[in-house]
Amino acid sequence: MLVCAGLVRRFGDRVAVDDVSFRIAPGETYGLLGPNGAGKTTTISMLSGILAADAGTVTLGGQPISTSSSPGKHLLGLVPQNIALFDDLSARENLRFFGGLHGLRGKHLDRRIDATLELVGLADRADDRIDTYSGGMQRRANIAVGLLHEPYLLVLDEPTVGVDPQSRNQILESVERLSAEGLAVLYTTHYMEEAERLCDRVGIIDSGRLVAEGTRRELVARIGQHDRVTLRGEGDLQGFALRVAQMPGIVTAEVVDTEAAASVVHLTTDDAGPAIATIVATAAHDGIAITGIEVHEPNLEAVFLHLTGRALRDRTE
Amino acid sequence: MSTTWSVAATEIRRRIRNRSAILTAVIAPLAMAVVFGLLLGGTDSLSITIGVVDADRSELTTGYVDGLLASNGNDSPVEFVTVTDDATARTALDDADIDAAIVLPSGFGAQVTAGAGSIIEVLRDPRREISGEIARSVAGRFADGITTRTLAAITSVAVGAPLPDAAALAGLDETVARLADESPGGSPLDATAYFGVSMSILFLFFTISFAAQSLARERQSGVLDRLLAADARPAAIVAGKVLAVSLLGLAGFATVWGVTTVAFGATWGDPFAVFITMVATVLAVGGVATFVSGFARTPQQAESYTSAVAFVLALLGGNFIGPGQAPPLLDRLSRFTPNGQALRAFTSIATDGASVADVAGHLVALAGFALLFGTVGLVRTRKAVQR
Repeated sequence: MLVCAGLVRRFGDRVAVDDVSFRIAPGETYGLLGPNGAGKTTTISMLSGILAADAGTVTLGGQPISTSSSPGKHLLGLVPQNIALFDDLSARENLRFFGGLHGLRGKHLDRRIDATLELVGLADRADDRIDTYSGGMQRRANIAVGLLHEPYLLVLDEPTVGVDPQSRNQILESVERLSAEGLAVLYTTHYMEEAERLCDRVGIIDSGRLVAEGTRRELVARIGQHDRVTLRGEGDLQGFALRVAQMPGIVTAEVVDTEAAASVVHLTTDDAGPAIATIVATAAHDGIAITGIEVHEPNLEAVFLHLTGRALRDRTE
Repeated sequence: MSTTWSVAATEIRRRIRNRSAILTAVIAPLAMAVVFGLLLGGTDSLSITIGVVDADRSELTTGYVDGLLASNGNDSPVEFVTVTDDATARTALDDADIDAAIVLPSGFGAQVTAGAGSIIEVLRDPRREISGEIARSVAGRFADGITTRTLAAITSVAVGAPLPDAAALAGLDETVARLADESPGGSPLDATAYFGVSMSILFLFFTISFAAQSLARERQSGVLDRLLAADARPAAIVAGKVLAVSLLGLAGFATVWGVTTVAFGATWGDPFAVFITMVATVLAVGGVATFVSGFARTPQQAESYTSAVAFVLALLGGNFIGPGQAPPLLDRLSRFTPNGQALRAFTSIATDGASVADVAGHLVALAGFALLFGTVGLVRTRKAVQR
């Protein structure tokens, strides 16, 4: 659906985006993860037809997108990082204006406005001015404008920056719901946990370059990290560790505290999901009384650290 | 085109809703016009009383004075009254019983008849320059009518002020003569109408600068990005903004026209000519304001650049000076400003009953300002929108 190929953008001598290519399939949520200044917004500006690319192409639904007029632009719903609304107009008036730009008219426009306001939970405040809204409500109104014309692809540029935890959760739930309904989403963030929660695939961007791309698991596997399972229990933990280490999918098993009343076995696996059943079954077979079990999956933070040599939020928080 | 209209309609709605347009385009110029009108001329027609001292009582001077007295009435803003002697005239001038005086000295007729030079004294009060200039012009024309060779000169004696030099007097001739010529026959020059035009032009700059301020603010907020992502063309966005503020400026101008006419009895002249000149003025000021704003990257820059240029052009164009009061240099400079051209056109329409054809030269000049500065300004602004 969305195909970005070889995007390059320079500002003077500085290369802000350097040969960035990625695709987003219908219904897929793609995360562009990187610190501030990595090139996320510049990439979005190019693929939205706001900013001219020095090189590369963008197509959406087979339609090319550039700064020139293009029908492909109407297939895309942009939600900028700022509250890109007329704050002295109501949400309904904003939606009417932007809907008109996308060619919506008459009753169809009215229906879409009502439906979108309902979707973002602003129906009861539809006729209030934006500047009377809370920060979270303004964010939701900002998203509503991006959804109004029923785009194929919704582009969300750091939509949770500066919002309170409750509003952030509402926004994330909205994105999950839209994704479940089949909308393709491009989501930029420097919050690793948001990318992990929402995104089917993640592209990690740093200093203008897309340094890695894939599902979370693919990215983790790429840097050679494994899921970790910590099992606490009583019984012959040494024997259990030796036996379970021989089983498929288990990489290592090691008892770390044999003197405690409830000792701990640290296991590493390729994929904790299927391995956990094997581990629990083996423990039961060996007469281990399990008092606790925890699963630790390597996160994108670790991937980012591995790929760039620094933490994701070194430069942001 | 629909994007342009859509942007324009939204901009107008927002400007009216936040009252910025009403304040800048209507209330401020109207208030300033009324205040200036009251301070510099009142809301009534210009009214000037010129005393005439005939110390000669010769056939020549008696005939001249009778002619002046006969010109009283006929809707003339200038009234001539006889004063017995020079000292009485000075006292009357000090007491503001008269605004200026013409003194024909004893022996004037004989000296002129003999071919010798003589002097006509014009008594002026520096606080009432227009009156003094009109009196000097009236006296000057009398002197010219007798003979320019034999009359020595016109001497202006300002009460408590130094004599103006000859060059300055010569430079003022055109303006003064025009005022004096118009007084007996043309419509009176209405101060409220004059300053209604003048202040409307000044505030047009601020109204039109809203377009650039709005674009800069929307660039910062991301609205402009959203418009571009919605396939709105940069030229259409800019055109919509400029159209909106131009319509608001025109509406404000027309409102000042209506209110000063209805509430204060101001006379602007032929409505069609007034309207056409208004449109031309809005386009010219719009062009200059768009050009200036094209250099701004922030709302604050747009506001400050426009303010600076608006006030400089207002000073050069004569917006703060009453009709006919501009010194010669300023009068010449004002011709190179849209303000000066517009004021001249509106003054002609109000006082001479000029038609569109009569002020065509001014309209062409205004159109030139609009085309030259507007085109460059729109190109620059469009480039700023298209990143």
